[in-house]
Amino acid sequence: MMDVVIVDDEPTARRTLRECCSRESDLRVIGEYGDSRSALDAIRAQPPQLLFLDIQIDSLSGVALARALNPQTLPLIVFVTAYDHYALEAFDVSAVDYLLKPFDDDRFSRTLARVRRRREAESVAERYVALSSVLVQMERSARVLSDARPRLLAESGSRMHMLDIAQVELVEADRNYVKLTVGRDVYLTRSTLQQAEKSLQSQPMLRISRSCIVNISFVREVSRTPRGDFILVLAGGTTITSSEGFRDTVREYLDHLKIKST
Amino acid sequence: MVVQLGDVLRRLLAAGERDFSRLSDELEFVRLYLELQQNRFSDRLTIRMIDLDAVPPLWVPSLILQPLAENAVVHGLAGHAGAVQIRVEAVTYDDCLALRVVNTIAPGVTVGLEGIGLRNVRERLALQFGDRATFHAGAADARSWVAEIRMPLVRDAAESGCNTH
Repeated sequence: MMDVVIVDDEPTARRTLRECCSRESDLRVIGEYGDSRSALDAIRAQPPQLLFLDIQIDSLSGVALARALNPQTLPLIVFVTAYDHYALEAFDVSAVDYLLKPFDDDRFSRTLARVRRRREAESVAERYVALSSVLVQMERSARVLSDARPRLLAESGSRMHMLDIAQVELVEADRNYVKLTVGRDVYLTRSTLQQAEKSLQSQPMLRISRSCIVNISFVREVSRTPRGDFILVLAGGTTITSSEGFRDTVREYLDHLKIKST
Repeated sequence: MVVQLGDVLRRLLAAGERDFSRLSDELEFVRLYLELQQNRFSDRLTIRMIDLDAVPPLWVPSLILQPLAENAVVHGLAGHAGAVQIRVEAVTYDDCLALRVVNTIAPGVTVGLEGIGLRNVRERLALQFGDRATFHAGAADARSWVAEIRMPLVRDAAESGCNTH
């Protein structure tokens, strides 16, 4: 018989887990909690053998709870999460179990089968080492996600820099390189314009000619040439002109943004 | 467990984690990894990390140090039952960053061929930096093994738009 504790802030998720557990003759749910604090107190007072623990990869509260558990009475842990994140996929090869919400009876059974095997085969010490490595990994993932601003490696002279793409004002194809303008500085990166465009997707980018993409949030002035092409002045002082083939695209985009051309 | 964690990391990497990390994050991660190994081999393993507060604000390819640390643990401990010291260093020269993981080896222990982890390090460095980066691993003397990455300094772009140093 295994005593089970369920920790999840969603009542419906707790109910589903409780129901799944109730169908298993060797499981007995001794507590369910919506927050880590009261869960930790209860687990310390009466350690279960199995813990279903909701984790949100960007909040770390579940990870903090797991960290605070007593290594001597460490339960088997099944991480329950709604985040179909690549980091969780990687845990399959590692030494912990997880359930991805929503899960079906089959997936629950398979996870439970692994838990039972693990209970036979693993010492608490081994479990602790495995858990620690996964927690390290989760903490790192959370940190990476919190600082996940896309960046590009680029050169200026012989120096290399990481550009936060939100800083990039202008992207121009230049033979084998792509030129990136940041303020008054120009950097070169060895990617194609398509690759650069892809990594700049989170920015409001506008293609104004075959070889030139501008970050619209840096446009400070717009005027027209006698032929009707658009002249854009960027925050860093760079002036660029749209090509004839892209004149209509640019006009539509500027109309859309309600930027009045003078 | 050593092998398993490495697998997890490589899969993470394959799954497209951000290409570059701050050097301080990278060193912190290696510190966590080595601490974990030290918990397992407390009687044999001594770790010496550089002072993480003194790390320069540079960028490095994500998880580039991890295979070096892993290798140092595995090969340092292999073939004998004695104590092992692992040292992690990050040093900047004029235009280059040297990342070193040094481990003691037992006298007479021969080290096998370069594993897949170290080969990946070499390939990733070549991909990002071409011939501006190098990777060497080998015996420094009879008692120690050194794995060293040398790569260009990758700084933040100047926030102000003023790029003079």
